[in-house]
Amino acid sequence: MLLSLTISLLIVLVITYAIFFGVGNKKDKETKEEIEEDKKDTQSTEIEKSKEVVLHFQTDPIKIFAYSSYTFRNFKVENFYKNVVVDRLFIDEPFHTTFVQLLQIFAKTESWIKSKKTKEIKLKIRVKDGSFQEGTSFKIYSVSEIAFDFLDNILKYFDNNRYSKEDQKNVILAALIWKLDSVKELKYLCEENLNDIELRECLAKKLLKHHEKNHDVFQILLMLEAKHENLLFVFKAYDKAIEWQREYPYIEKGDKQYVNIRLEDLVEINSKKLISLNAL
Amino acid sequence: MDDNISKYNGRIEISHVMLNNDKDIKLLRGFEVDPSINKRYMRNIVVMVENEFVTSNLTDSAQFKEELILFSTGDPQNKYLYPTTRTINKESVYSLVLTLAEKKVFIGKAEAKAMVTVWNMAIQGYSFSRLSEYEANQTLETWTSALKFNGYLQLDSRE
Repeated sequence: MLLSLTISLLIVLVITYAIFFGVGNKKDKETKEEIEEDKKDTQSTEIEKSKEVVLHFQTDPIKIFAYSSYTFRNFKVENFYKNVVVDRLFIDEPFHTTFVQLLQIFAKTESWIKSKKTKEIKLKIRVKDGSFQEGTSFKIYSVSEIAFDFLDNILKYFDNNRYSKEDQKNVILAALIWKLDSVKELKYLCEENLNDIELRECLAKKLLKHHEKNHDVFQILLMLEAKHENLLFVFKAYDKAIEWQREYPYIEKGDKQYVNIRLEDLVEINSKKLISLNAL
Repeated sequence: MDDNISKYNGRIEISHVMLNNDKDIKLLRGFEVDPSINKRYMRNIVVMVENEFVTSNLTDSAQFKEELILFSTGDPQNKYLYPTTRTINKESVYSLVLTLAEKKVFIGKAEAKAMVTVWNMAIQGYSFSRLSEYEANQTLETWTSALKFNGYLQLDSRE
C-alpha cells in the first residue's frame, strides 16, 4: 500500500513540475520576444542623454559701490543711508551722490526755524560789570532734526504705499531740496534779494548739477511749489514732523554768522568704494 | 538747570504777580528751591511789562518802586517813569509814562498806589539772603533757559 501511495505521489509531482515549468518557460520566451520586437518598433537605436544642469551658488559676498561710514557725521545719518541706498538698492547715479550730499548738508547745518508755539520776550539784563545786554528770547526748532523726521515720514509712507522706484527717488530728492531754503549756511550760493521760490530754484540748480535739465526731479519741484494734490502726502509728512518736534530755548542778539558749507567739501561721485553688502 | 543760575543745584522757579491787569504789568519773582532743606529763596525781582523786561535786578526794581511811590513829587531825573500831563475829556491830568520799545504806557495815581500795595504783598515772607549774594550771576542765556523751563515762552493755547 505504502509503495503504491509513494509511487502515485511521485507521479503527481512529476506531472505538476512538467506542467508548471516546462510550459511556463515557453510562455516567458514568447513574451520576451514580443517585447523586444515592440521595443525595436518604438525606440530609436540611439538613446539621447539628458543635458547636465550645473547650478552655481552665490557664495561670495555681493559688493556694491558705496560710501564708507566716515562720510557721515552720526549714526542717524548712516541709518538713513542704509535704509535708502542699501536696503532699497537705490545705488544708481546721480541719485546716490546727490542724496548723500543732501544728508551731509542737513547733518552739518546749525540753522533753526522759529517755533509756531512761542512767545517772544525782550530781555534787557544788567550783567556783572553793570553794563546791559539786550536780546530777544524765544523757542526754536532745529532744521536738521525737522529734515530727518520729514525724510523718515516720507520713507514710512513709501513702505505702506506702492510707488515706482524712480518716483520714490525723485520725490525723496525733491522733498529734501524743497526744504533747503531754511539752511542759512547755503545762502551764499545765490544772489541776495531773491524770494523763496527763486531761492529754492537756484539751490536746486546748484545741487542737481549731475541731473539732466529736463529730469523728473525738476518737474516734481514745480509740483511741490504749486501744492499739487498728488503730492499731498509730502506736505502731511512735513506737518507731522513739525508737530512733534523738540523745542529749544534761543536768545537772539544781533545777527548770527553762519559758517558756509562749501559744496566742494561734500562727497564726490568718484570717492565711492567697493563694499560688500554684508559689511554695510 | 544751568550751573550759572543755581549755585546749590536747586531749581529756579519763576512765578509772577500781576501789578496791573489792564496794562499787563507783572512782577516776576525768581525763586531758588533748595531740595535738601525744601526751602525757597528769592533770587530776583523783575518788572515785566507786556513781553518786555523793564528792570532786571534788585537795585533797578527798587528804584522803579520808589518812582511809583513818589508819584506826584517825581521829576525828570526819574529813570523809568517820567512825569507828564495829558488831557482826558478836556481835562489835564498828571501821570507817569513808561516808554517801551513800541508803545507808551501811562500810569495814574491810584494805579501807582495799588501797584505798590500789591508789590509789598508779593514779596512778603521770603528769604532774601541769596538775592543780594548771587544776583550778578545772571546772563541772557540763563534767563532764557529759566523762562523756557517755567513755560513763559509757551504760547497760551487759549489765545
